[in-house]
Amino acid sequence: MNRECKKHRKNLVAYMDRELPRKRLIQIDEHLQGCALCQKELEELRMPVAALLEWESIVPSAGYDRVFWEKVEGLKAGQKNRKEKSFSKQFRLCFKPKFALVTSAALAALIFLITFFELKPLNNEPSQSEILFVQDFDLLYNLEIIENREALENFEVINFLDILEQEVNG
Amino acid sequence: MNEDPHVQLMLRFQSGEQSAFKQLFEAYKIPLLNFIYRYCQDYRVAEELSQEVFLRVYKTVSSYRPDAKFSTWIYRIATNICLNEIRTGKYKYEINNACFDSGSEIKEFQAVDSRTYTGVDEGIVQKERHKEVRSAIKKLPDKQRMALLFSVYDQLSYKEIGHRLGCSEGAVKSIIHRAKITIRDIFLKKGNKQDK
Ligand SMILES: [Zn+2]
Repeated sequence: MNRECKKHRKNLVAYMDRELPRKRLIQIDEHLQGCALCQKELEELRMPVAALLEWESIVPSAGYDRVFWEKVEGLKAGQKNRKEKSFSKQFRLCFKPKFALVTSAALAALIFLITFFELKPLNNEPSQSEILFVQDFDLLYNLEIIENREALENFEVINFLDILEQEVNG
Repeated sequence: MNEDPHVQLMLRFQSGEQSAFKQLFEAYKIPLLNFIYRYCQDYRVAEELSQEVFLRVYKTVSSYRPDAKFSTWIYRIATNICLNEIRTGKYKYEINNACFDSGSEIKEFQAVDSRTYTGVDEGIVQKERHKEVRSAIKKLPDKQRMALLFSVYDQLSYKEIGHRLGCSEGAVKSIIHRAKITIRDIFLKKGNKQDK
């Protein structure tokens, strides 16, 4: 191998992939025309890549999709199980001795809240007792602060604001 | 916003649309199966691992972020699975002991033979050459093998291969050049042995 061959051989892969500057490509082209050894070298580089391209694609087996979707179903079931397990684990954790105090305190607080505040129905519709006897809403809006709700409740029909004010002020 | 249609499908799947996942599965099952098959050269393992890639997609959907092209992301999962499961995981033994004359391999050679048949000798020579190339591919170091497969079959740029393999464009260029020289050397060594 002479110096020229040595110089070009290290660039043969880049030459094969056309990744050299134009000037270099031309130099190698010219050298290859007169050098059988470098031509052989290039052919040896090209051949395995060309053979790779003949490697045909495969297709999945007949049961491929079915097996896959079964795995997905298994995964979904596993995820659901894990969620349930994690909830029951947390629930059981509440009754472990070291968390008993916290759990009792939380329960006590909950019972306190339930007893002290009346539980309102879930829908936001006002109950009959809440509607009271207020028929003139304009009148209601004019009152900035209703301090004594009982006084208001005692009115069956509110006709005049001053009557209401008199009642409230005694 | 990422306009890659497959990213859009993945985002739809993320918001609960199961049919979007089905579409992604249909679009990628064959390319992924082929990539993994060419990497490990075992049909059964390739089927299992390609399914594993989709299961990984399914499991990680909630944390998915559309930072890259979908293909880049899914092939990155595939390369990680190949490296972990085949090199060090439960398939290591099977792959190392896989025989080239497995059923699928024979079927595939028959397909090539019937397509390119030009006479008995030619067919045998070609068959032998395919076998040698595959055997040589199998001997390439992991990254060289993957980079070469992406370059030859998907005709990707060095940059895109870099994204898939997690290395720079320059590194990919040098990996592929080395792969082509290594595969040539393996090939020649075999040829010389057979000549003797
Ligand atoms: Zn020369």
